[in-house]
Order: sequence, then structure tokens, then C-alpha cells
Amino acid sequence: MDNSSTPSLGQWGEEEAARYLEDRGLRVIDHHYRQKWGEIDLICRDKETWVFVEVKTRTRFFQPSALDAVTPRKRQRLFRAAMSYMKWKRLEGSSMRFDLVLIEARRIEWIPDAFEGPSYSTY
Amino acid sequence: MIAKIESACLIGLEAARVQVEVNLAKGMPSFSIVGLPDASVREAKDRVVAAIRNTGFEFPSRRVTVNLAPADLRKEGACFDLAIAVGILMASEAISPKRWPRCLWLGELALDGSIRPVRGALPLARSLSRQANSALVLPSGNLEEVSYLSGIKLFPFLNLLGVVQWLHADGAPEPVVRNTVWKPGAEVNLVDLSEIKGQVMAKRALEISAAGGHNLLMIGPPGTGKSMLAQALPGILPSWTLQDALDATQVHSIAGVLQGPGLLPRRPYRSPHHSVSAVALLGGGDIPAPGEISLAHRGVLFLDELPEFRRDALEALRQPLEQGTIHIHRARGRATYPSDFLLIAAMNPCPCGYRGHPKKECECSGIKIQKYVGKISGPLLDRVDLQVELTALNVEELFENKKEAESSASVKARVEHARAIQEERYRNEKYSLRDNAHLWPRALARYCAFTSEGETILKAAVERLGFSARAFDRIRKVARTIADLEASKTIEARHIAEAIHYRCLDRQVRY
Repeated sequence: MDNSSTPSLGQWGEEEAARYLEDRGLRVIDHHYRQKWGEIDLICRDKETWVFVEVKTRTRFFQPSALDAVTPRKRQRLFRAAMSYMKWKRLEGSSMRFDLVLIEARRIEWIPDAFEGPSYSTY
Repeated sequence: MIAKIESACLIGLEAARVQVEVNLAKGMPSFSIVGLPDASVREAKDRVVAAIRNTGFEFPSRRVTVNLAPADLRKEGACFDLAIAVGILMASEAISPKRWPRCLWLGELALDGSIRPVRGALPLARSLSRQANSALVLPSGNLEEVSYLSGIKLFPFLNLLGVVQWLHADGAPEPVVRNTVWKPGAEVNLVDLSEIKGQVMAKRALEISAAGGHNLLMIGPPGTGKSMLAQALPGILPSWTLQDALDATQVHSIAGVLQGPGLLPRRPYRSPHHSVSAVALLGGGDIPAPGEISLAHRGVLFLDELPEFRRDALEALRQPLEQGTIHIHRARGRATYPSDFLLIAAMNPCPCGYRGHPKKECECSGIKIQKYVGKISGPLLDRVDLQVELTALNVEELFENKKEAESSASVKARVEHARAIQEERYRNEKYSLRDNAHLWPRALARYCAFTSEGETILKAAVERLGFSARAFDRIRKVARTIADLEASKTIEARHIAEAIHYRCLDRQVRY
């Protein structure tokens, strides 16, 4: 995996996460949505709800854990990107949710509705 | 997507209805509470989320806005948790109630979904019970204290799941609460009057104090039984009734000092240490909380070593002593608390304590004595109806045969009889008048007329001893009580003479 020609660890993790979520009934719509103000690893649909997924991948356990790696700054980039995505696709008014998928030492953990958005934001 | 549900909070002793509105909007999942919530209300957020999830429901990933109306009223306390949680369940259509009774919701949620008892449930329920058709959902832990109220329907619950099942079940019986018959707790009398040696006059003063609700000041050297007499007072006061228990318990409920469930089992007896601050005595704080005088409502406030108290604390007692209520105003709120208590105070005649002692010599200089006694101002003394001097016991009194002394029980019987007379006499008064000590001027003229012989004595006393107008009124009230103790309709000269007798601080020029 240290070879640069192979997909990066992050990309590998995203694919693992996408497979994992599709097994559980979510439909993956988009991969790696990226703007200069933020980015989203996976965008899925869970029935009527749009789900924005942040994937954190580690090859092994170490401190601080992957969960701590989602800093407030990282979260804000996620929110901004999600808002611009909803605008772009004209999805205003649909319900949405933020999930977190942690892959640590090949063990996958899925945390639906992992964080709430800033209370002041609307789109 | 919107739910409205009613809750309430307290302003002083009155309930204020609060509308809890829950709106679920699409957008970034978030949860905010608006409507001037204080920290404990804002923290409801985390409790509600956890309680809903741990009860087995999903917390909506929507933009959840909870509004507490009216928006200009400051909300404090955790009592809105249940209303917010049920509102969210309703708005997200997680539950579809088969019944929706018009009621107010009260309860603090624990993280596991169980409902914790709240502070101030009794005054809230009591205030609501005066309004028509009130019903209250409340924590089971608060049931005991409010179950004696009539005119209010109560639905007690242990946890959120129980509430949901109740709302869902169509024909299931409603939780019925019967108003239980109340019985006061067993009296705990530390001291019986018969155990106190000598001090016949002080015992008599104590009896008058209990019979008419008169404040009492005892002055005497150390070891003469002042504290014992004060401790014997609860034993001769009239029996603890439900009304009194409700009045007293609601103050304790607000202050959050109720020990155990249910109403106070016996009359409150508060004896704050003399280092107490004015605020602790009267009540106060950022959001006004009741102080010692309100916790002693319908009970006894014993101030031992009266001159040692801080002067500002003592002087602040004047108004509540006169009015029976205290208004506390602070930047963040105001409150009126009841403070109708019986004041019993004790002091030494001088700093060393032995002035007037038959054997021991007093070492205090005149200035020292003046400074000591002068700590208690004239206006405060004026409000103390009975002032009685205790003398040190002599040898015969110490070895006195016990069976001569009267027991608390027989004194109590006389006191209750005198109270019954007063109750009968003041039953038709427009304003609630409980005892002779609270007669106001017009009623005083009506009920405290005395014989011409008595008038002569009183006139001479006023002239010779220079009583103030207030002291004059106090003497008449005390005379009325003394007459009531004898079941005498008119106030005779001897009643007045005895009443004058209990103003030793006015009588003695040397103080």
C-alpha cells in the first residue's frame, strides 16, 4: 500500500465504506465531492434522506482514535460542502443527515446521525 | 411537523403556564431551544436526546426548534424535559396518541428515560388547582406531596415509556390518584415543659405566645433554660393541620430542601446560627430563593443569642414580622414568599451574662452593657409582644419535686382551646386572620375592647412607662390572648396588667 501507483489508503477506505453501506440498504449517489470550501467522502440516499458520510481509515489502532480526527474544522468543511451540494442539486427541503464510518484495522464501524449541524445554518 | 404542549414554571409561589412548541424543519440536523432558557433548560437538549433514544425511539435528524413561550419569561429548572420530549415524539410522528388530555406536563428526564422528581411541584400544583379543570402529568416521585390537593387531576409516571403507552392505549384505565387522608407525623418533643425547673413566668409567656402567635424574647443569664424553653415550644403549639402543612411544605419544595417524599410531618423549627447573613435569613440570590424566615413559615424561628446576630439581618426582620410576607427584588427576578412565623429569641442580660444574678457578679461596664443591649433596636423590640426575664434558679428550685410542674400536653390543650376561640371569632373576617397577634388596627378596636377598670390601668402604664403606640397595640393583643386562655369574653383589668408585665424591656429604664 506504500506504492504510489496503488490507490491511497483513503480511497481504499471509501470503497470499503461504500460497499458496507450498500449492503445495508443505502444507495451511494456520489463519491468524493470536492470544493475548495469543503469535501464529502460519500453521498448516499437512505430512502428519502440524503446521507453525507465522512470516512476515516486507519490501518491499525492508535491514539488519538479516528473518531477524534473529525475535528470541528473538518466538520465545518463537511457542512459547507453538504450545503453547496444540496443547492447545486436543487435539493432544498429534503431531509438530510451526517454519518460517520470508521475503519480501523479492517474493522468497520458505522455511526448514523453522528453529528448535528450548526443551529444557525439554513439553505 | 409542529407540536404544541403545555408546561408550567414557577414565579415565586405562582404557576406560570409555558407553551412548549416543537417544530421540525428540513435542513441541517440540529436541535435548539429558544425562549430565554437558562443553563439547566438548555441542557435539557442532551437529556432529551438520550432519553428518547434509550426509550427505543429515533431522534429525528431534522432541524428541531423548541420554543418556550411566552418568550420574555425566564425559564429555569429541568421541569420542561418531559414536555419537550413528548413534543418531539409528537412532531416527528413517532407516536400517534389515541388520547390527548388537556393537561400540563412536568418532569425532569434521566438519560435512561426515567422521570425524575422536580423542585417546586407542590406550589405549582397548588397554584394550578385553583384554576378550573387542571390536570397535571408529573413524576411519580412528586406524587406524595401533591396528592393531598383537591381540584386537580394527577397523572403520575415513572418513565417516558410509561407516558407513551398511556397515550397509545385507547381503553386502558387512566392512572387514578385518590387524595389520601393526611396524618401529621409523630411529634418529636425534645423537651417537655414539666422537665424544665422553675421559670413559671417564662412558661406562662411561652403558653401565651403559642396561644396567640405572639413573638417572644427571653432574657436571662446562661443556664436558666432559655434554649430548653424554646425547644419545648413545638410541643405546646396547636396540632399540625393539612392546610398549615401545605403552606409550609410549598416553601420547602421551592427551596429544594424537602427531606423525603410527602408533606412536612411536623411544624418547621428553624434555629439559624447567629452568624447568618441577612440574605440567608430573608431569602435572596440571583433568582430569589426563600430564606430561613420563609422556611419557618407556619412554624417557629428561634434566634438564640439575639444581640450576636448581625445588625442588618435583625433590622431586616421588621417588615416580614409585621406583614407575614417578604418581597425579594433582584435584577433577574422578584418573588414574594410567605414568612408567617413565630419568633422566639433569647439573649443574655449583658455580655458576661450575669447581670442581675443573685450570686455571681457581673463584670461588664455600663458602656459595654449599653452597647450589647443597644444592638437590638427599639423598632424591633416593639414588634416582640412578649419580653420576659428569666432569673437564675435557686437551690430549692433545682431540687424541686418534678410532679408539680405542668406537662406540655395539658398546656397544649389550653392553647388549642384558645386557638379555637380565636378561629371562631375571626371566621367571618374578610382577610384571613389567624390569631390575635395579627389583628390589624380596625379589627383591634372591634375585638379588643376592655373594661373601664382596665382602661385606667393601661392609661397609667402608658403615662408612666412611655409605651409607643405600637407597644400599646401589642399590649392589647396580648391581653386579648390572656383573656382567651381563660375563655373570658371581655378583657379584664387583670389581663391587661399581666400583658403589661411582659414588656420588661419597655418597663426598665436601665436597659
